[in-house]
Amino acid sequence: MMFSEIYQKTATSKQLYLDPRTKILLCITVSTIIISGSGTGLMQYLQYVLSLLPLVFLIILKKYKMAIYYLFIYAIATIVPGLLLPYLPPILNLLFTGIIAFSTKLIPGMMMAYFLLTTTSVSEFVAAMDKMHITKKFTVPISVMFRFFPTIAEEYKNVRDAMILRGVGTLRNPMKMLEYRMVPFLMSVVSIGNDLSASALTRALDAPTPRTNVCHIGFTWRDIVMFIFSFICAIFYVVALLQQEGIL
Amino acid sequence: MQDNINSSKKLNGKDLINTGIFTAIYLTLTMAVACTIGMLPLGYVLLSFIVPFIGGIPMMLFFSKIKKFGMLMIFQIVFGVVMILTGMGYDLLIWGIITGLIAELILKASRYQKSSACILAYAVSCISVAGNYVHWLSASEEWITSKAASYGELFMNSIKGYFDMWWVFPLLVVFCFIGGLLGGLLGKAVLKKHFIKSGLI
Repeated sequence: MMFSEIYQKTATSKQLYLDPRTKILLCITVSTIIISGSGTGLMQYLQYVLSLLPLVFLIILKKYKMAIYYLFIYAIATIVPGLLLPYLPPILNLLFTGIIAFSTKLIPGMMMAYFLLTTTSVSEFVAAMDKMHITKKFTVPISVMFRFFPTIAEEYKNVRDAMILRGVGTLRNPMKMLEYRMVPFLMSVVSIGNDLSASALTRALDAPTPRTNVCHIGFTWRDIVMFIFSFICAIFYVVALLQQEGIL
Repeated sequence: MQDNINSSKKLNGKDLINTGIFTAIYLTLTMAVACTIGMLPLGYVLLSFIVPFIGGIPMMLFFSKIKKFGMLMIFQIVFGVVMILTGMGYDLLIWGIITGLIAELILKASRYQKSSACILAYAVSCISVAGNYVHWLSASEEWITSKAASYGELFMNSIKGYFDMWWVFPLLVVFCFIGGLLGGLLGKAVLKKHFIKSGLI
């Protein structure tokens, strides 16, 4: 039993329960196809379908605020660059406008990652990685990483409050701000990390035996549907690529 | 007992946990900076300098804890995989593995003792940040050419001349490297001023 704190299941894992491996596959499908496709012909429709996928998931999970936010950002990234393009010098276009336009291809991938992170508990994730036979050298840092995101936010907030109270390190002096915020923050995070490794070591993190997990993950019909969906997307992708090359 | 653990070449649980903590810190820092400064025009390009510079302090602390081969590689690979899952593309992982390996070799050559080697290794591993731009720049170019066609021939021609900007990418690499060097120096100074005095290292 490694980290008891991260053993709790999140409430959202009950709605739309998918195997973590399926979610990872979906993430990779969405980001790969949307990024590498050129956005013409058949590929264009495929990209729209894949961009809709995170929206559907967000609505099923009843995260309406996030869904509206996603729609809003996506709309801005689609419309604004076209309006700006003729009025800016080319170097700015290359480094700014084009990149905003390109971000329409990144936002769906980010939303899929958001979906993956909010619906998967750490122990589910570790269980999935154990099943994929990924070594402990990667599973331990990744699970520690997930465990640390909330801690980082909390510690940073505390340090910021303390510094505002004392009136040191405001934005007027960025270098001082960097020092006065980063140093206390790192001190507390590193000492929390030392506590964490001590507690994990007493619970036999270094033991050579395989560790057990209370999370039972496995594929259900929903996973199979998703697998078929990403398989079809992959086929469409290949067909579209061949069309572009002029083979079909 | 303590010496026994430290002298062994294999990575133990403490090393892995340290790697995880600093990956989390670096990732949060990168995201926070990218979401604020990266939104401004040209701020996106300056990211290649600012991210390595600000990351200097936590990373120098991390580098001072690296005593074995492999920790930096794990850091870079986990960072790259997170970037793939968040839809940033594969370039960062590839660049991360290459620069991570070089940085590891620099550290190994100095037997994990010299702080100057740490700074150099950090600057080298920062070059991987530039890897994120490879795909973005080419896609940005592609998008503008496809759009520019609809704005008439004059506009198209004025844009074409700028697409020979081969120097943009090497410039970004240099930016990353310089940012890494300065960040490393800053990190080393802060380390000396605060962490060694308080006995944290």
